[in-house]
Amino acid sequence: MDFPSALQIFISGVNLGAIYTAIGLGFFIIYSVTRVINLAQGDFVMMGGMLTVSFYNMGIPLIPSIIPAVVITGLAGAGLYRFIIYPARRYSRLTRLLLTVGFVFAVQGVALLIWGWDFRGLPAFFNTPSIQLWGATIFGQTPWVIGGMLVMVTGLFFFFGRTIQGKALRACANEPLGARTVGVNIDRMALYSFIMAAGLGAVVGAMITPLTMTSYNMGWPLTIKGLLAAFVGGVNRAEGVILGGITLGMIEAATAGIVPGGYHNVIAPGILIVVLLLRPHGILAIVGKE
Amino acid sequence: MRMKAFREIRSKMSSVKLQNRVVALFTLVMMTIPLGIGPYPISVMVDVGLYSIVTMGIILLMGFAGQISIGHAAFFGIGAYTSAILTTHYQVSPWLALFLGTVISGGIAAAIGRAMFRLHGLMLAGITLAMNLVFYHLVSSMVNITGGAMGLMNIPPLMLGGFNFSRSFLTYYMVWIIAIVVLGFSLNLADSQVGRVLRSMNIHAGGSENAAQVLGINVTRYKVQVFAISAVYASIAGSIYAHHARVVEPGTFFIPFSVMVVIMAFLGGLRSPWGAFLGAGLMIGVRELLWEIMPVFVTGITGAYELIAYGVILVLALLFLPRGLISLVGKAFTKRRAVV
Amino acid sequence: MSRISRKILVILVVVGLIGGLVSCMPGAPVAASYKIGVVAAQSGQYAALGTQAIRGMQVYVDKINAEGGINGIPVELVVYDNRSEATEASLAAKKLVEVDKVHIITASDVTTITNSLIPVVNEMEVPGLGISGTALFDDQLGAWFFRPMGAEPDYIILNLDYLSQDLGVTKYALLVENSGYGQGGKVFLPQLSPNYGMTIAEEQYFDPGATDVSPQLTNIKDSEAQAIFIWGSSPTSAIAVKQAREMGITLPIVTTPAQVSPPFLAEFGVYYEMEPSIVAVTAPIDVWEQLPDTNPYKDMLREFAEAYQAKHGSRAAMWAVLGGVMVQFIEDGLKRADADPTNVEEARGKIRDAFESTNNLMTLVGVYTMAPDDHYGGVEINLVLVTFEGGRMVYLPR
Repeated sequence: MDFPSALQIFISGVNLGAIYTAIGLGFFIIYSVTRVINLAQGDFVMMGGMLTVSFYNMGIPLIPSIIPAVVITGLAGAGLYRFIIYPARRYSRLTRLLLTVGFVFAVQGVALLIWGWDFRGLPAFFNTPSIQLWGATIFGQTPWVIGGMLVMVTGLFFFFGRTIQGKALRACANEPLGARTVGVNIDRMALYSFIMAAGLGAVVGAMITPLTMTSYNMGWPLTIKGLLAAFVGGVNRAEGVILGGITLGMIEAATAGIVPGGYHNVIAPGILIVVLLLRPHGILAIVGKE
Repeated sequence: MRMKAFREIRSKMSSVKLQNRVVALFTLVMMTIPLGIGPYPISVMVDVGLYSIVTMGIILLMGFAGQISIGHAAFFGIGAYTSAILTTHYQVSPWLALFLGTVISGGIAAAIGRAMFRLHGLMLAGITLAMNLVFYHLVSSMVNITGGAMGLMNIPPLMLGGFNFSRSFLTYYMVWIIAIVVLGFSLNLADSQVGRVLRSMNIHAGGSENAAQVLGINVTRYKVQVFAISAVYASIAGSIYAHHARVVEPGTFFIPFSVMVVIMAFLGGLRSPWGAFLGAGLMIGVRELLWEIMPVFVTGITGAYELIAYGVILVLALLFLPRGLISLVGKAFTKRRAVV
Repeated sequence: MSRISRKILVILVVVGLIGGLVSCMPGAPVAASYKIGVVAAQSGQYAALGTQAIRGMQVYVDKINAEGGINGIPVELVVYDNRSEATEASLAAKKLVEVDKVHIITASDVTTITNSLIPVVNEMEVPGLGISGTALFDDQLGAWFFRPMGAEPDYIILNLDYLSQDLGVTKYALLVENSGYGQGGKVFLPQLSPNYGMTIAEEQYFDPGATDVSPQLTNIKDSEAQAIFIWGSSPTSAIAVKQAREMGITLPIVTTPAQVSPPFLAEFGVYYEMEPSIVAVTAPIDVWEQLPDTNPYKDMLREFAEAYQAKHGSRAAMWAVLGGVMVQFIEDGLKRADADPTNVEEARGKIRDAFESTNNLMTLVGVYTMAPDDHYGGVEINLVLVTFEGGRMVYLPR
């Protein structure tokens, strides 16, 4: 394979990896604070994309359209927590996971009602054209996706690592009793985590719609991909999720053209199985409190 | 908790007798129902029966072994495709194919199971998810063998003696006889040593995993057994499904099915295999109800509203029935246990 | 448990049980109308298709009833949502047959769902038709099922003819989707290409949800392909055109009907036009205004398109047309069967026989003649080639 082809695959892999990582991080945020697996994460992405398209079609310029989309999705996340997850706080974790599934059905139904089944798209941000680089093509929206993901990751690291609020959020998951002792309001933190994950998901949705178009039921496959990324890396650590996402993206890009038929779809989950069998807590997760 | 065990052993005799009577009554009821209802409800009950069999395996897995699986559609699919392929391409007897399907499912479950159970709940979900994905994509790709994404058609119906089981009426009996046998087996398992051990260490049933390990019991071996059993149940149901529907396509054996059986298990109640019938009955009943009722409220295209209603009902059911429907029934049957 | 939640609990359980019982009750007394059972996806991944098919069917049903029905008897559609699942479709069909006592069953989505209804229809002895774009199962339709639709051999030959005759292509690349839709392409293209003196130089695959097919396009660029046949129904199959052009690939591209649907055109039309503008096979409804007046289908298409537009405010597309075709076929069959709708079992048999003796029926997508050993019956399939120019789809006469 010559250099331009390899470069093309590499860029494609990074692009894909960024998307999976971003979704995986959404899982991570909620899971790390509340230990809830939110199967509605992909649908937050869908909402972000659909809402942005709606506002854009109303005449608002593209980038500002993202803001109300994020706000509304964030509110949906808050609603999910406050009215569905919070009432179940004394029930088992499986119950809360299944509750998010119920939420998925309802959200998809509403989306179908409002937007119908059509695919909707957006132009690339600022109408960025595609660039040729050393024989490979970088499509218009790709730098925004990768850049956006980098910003997101950096922001999350900073937030969780350095700020008081972030540390408080982490404390909730690792040591709820201790957190309460120092006056952290666990329920408030859980609410924030849901809002954050929903908002983040919405941003991802807006970012990828120029690439793939959006439709009312695109959430589900994204959720699965994001889950795979999170599992491969180990849901316990953000670095793990990032590594998992990039790995998945690279594998998919590298095998998409080469492996015949749909077999290449077997590779990613197959790798997950191998990883989990060899390293039961994901590639990077810390063994410890589950 | 050990006190509870002693009391249980003492009351075991009478409660087993009671349970046997209930099973007998249940059998009688299920066998006579088809005589009194029309052909469509029979078809619905066939569906309920098939889902119940799979769900029972999930209840054993989740309720007794405390393990989670969101990929059981794969085992259902292994049974279905094994039966479909062997009977359509190779003219193998359907019963032999069914048996082979269970061997494959059970074998795979035992193989991954052994390695799997070092994992905690979350990672377990991950591996079962991955397993379902692998199955789905493999089946979709192997066009020459499995028909690929379009699936296989013209699967022969099950035959026994001269009876052709393609008519819903007879399929009903076959499905429900198998369902009751499976129920009996599961109840037996629940009351056996394996069952007690599992329940004693399962958080859902008020146990603790550490306690069991401290007592020196090989926890993993039992868990793997239960996992394999649940895979076999799903495989049996899958094989019957293939001969009943006579068409298989990959989309049926994907995550939505896996999630659905978990929901059924949960809403039915993880405490007892009886929960399988309750959960399956409830979810299918809701779907039927929506079909009937939606056109009354909404004219035109009802799909979106049904989806919303489905989600809302699911959320409400989970919030108000955290222990499943069986908890309603449980109150009537376990009065003794209230005294602790 | 609190009193309130216990009450809600009881309600839920009762509701679930009632649901089961209610569906058991036989439907209303058989009215004197012809009932067409419609099993369609109104949610799930095929929602677009099912819903449009229902709308297309309704256009003709309304027309029939406005003109007094068939032999004076009105026609009605009874619709159930199958949520894009084969198992639900199968159960919906059974319900339509047993409870609603329909005379005909129609499957309105895609091949896999349609296939799941074939055993039901044959066992319960109800005439059925379905939307399915593949010829792969035509020998397994049974005595009761009919498929008056196009199939891959019908429409891909237009593209292959164009490539070999107009462009002199001998080797092309196939970029095909990993889906049921794509599977037909994978089977028939290698089979039919030699008839046009062509071979497939490179075969690449993509997933329906993929965001990026540049690796595949790179492989194609590096191969000996002189043209690209892109086959898919998801946005990715349209995005592939965009990416190819942005990557500087100037090979001619041909596509299938699914890729030229209105939403894709709205987003990617600009890339479809770039030199060389792509060529696609599609239903003539998309360009009916441009058809010459001598085209025998033009009036029929105009009437359907205008009725659909008036009712739904949007342009009728392929699936609406397929729904319409099913009703045209049914209308013709019902007229000739002249069955008594109140005697359901006998009517079903008569209608089936009438379907099987359909002769030279002209529909929106072609002419059909059925026979006991041929329930596909395509005599002439009406599809056209189009290209893109000046922001619109342009009819390419052959």
